[in-house]
Amino acid sequence: MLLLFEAPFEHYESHQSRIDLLEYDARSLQEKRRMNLHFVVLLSFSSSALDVHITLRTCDQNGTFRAYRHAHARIRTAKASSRLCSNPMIPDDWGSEDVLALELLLEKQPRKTTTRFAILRIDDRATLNWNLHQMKQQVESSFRWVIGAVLLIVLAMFLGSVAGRRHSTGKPHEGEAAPSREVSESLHEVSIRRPAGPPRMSLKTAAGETVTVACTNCHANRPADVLNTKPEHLDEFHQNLKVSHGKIACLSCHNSDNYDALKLANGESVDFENVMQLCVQCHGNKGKDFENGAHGGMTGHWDLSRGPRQRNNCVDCHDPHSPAFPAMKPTFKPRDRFLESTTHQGDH
Amino acid sequence: MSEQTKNVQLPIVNNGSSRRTMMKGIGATLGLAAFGKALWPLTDVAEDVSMDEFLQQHFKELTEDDKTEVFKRLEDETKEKYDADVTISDHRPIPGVKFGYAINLSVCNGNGKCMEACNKENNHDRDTNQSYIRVLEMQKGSINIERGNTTYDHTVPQDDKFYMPVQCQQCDNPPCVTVCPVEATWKEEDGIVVVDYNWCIGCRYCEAACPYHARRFNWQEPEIPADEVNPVQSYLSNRVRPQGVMEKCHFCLHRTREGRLPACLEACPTGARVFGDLNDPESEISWVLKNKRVFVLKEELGTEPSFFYFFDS
Repeated sequence: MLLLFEAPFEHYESHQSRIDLLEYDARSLQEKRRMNLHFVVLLSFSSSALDVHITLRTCDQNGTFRAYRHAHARIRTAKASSRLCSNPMIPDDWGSEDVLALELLLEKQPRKTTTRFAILRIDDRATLNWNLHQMKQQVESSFRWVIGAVLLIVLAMFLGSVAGRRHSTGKPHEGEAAPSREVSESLHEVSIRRPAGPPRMSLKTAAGETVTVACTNCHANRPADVLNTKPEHLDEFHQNLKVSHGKIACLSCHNSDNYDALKLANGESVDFENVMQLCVQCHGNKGKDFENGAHGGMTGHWDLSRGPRQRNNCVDCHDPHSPAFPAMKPTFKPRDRFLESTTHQGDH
Repeated sequence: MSEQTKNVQLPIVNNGSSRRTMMKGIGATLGLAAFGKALWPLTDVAEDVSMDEFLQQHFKELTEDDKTEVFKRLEDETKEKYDADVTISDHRPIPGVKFGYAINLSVCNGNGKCMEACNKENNHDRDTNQSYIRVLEMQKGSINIERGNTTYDHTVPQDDKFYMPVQCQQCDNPPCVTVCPVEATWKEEDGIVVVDYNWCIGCRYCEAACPYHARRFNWQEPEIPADEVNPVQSYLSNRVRPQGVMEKCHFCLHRTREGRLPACLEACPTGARVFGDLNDPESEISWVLKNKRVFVLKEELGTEPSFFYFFDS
């Protein structure tokens, strides 16, 4: 993110302000060819409402007008506090060779002393959302600090005068700025569900009873055949298993040395309980998302200082043999009066 | 002398009835009758609105004692109407927390479990399957939520469709709050826009103002079986709403302000939902905002939602 321009409004005599980005950023703009550019106009002001008309134009090197887009906004604040307005308005399909000119037209001039605006260029959307949030926090917190400081001074003066009158040695007011949120010393844990252990195969005995046996029960006596890569290749057992998991073979994951465990790509044995280690070898992106809480279902607390959280592991939702999430039939439908008819969907 | 006694007369008794006084009398009687008739509707109020409720102040002006009294009254009313023992409390924002919510549209498959969880958690009407969430089925390659379909009834996901749950976006610049003529809805410090259901006059301006169609009107009193009423209630969130008021998603504030996850997130079988504190740079939601290609709905309106959508790249 790059701050292109920042200025107080009193620099401009009229209420219309035009900033030509050509002057400020033409070179670096051209260096950033083929990137999505988003511009944000930030305004901070102290009046209660502000009409803003923002025009973005593209022009080529000679300054010839090519295209434009404009937005009109009336920004209000409930209190006369700082406020930011963001308008990321450059469409993605605008040519990267274009150089942008930006016109800012304020229909009502706010009080000059506290008005300031900035134009920022942000190279991708994710940082934009994050940075906008950060900037809002900064402005709000700085505003809070100012109020806090004023209040503290007033309080100090008041206490001082009271103490002076009583000729007592009043203690200074302590702990005026309480920490906004305590970081608890003891965070609750995030527990990830695990498979109970190696699976057990259910078989029917000659007497017709169903029993469950460990994998090694049979596999200990049967040498592994690496040429059997699919269930269809097998002569007996597991033939009906539905496998739809890329091009991997059974022994890509199952451990031929110990069938009650699994095998990593480097040949190391890994327990069924730690199956996620195996999955993330290929599905690294998903693993990273999972690690950061952006993949997989969970229950419990978002705030670990108040309670624990339970998370699913890969095989809770994905069948390891055919991991695509299964199709579902929706069972719950709203029945409000606007939704009765399905014949004209989306008509308004 | 006799002339004098003749002149001293009591106005009505001694005068006999003249045409004029009779007309006055009739006029006065009719006037009183009309006045009485005009006031008559006031006597109906007592039937569904108790005097306490009628005189109840705006939520922000209630003292702690008032709140105890009001909550007790509402609990009793719920007991009377629904035969359910509930606890209504007041969950205040956690200082320094700003909630954010994100949905991974690559993962959401439109199964609608979130709507079901919302319906149960928030004591919605069982007959209409009311919920704060609408899951839109949309054509791949476009994001026009006006063309989304909520009535799809087939196995999901369809190959050419994607699914987008829409609920209150908890805007930082909420149009619904601006238009409310009685300030019955406002934004709290943690970003949640709440409604005082007892202050709302049901004008539905906010429903019209919301660009996300996220507000619901209670056309009738919700019907909920006694054993299905969620007894953990909060005044500004999931207590049973009266007829004729607006309601909306409140990020399950009776759960989230206790540190718990919202009901729709816990119910999601695909794990598409991410919830957390935007002010905490280590939170899951912050990670999503920093690392995923996130967008918000109708960004051009300047509503600045705290609700985000993203696709896995």
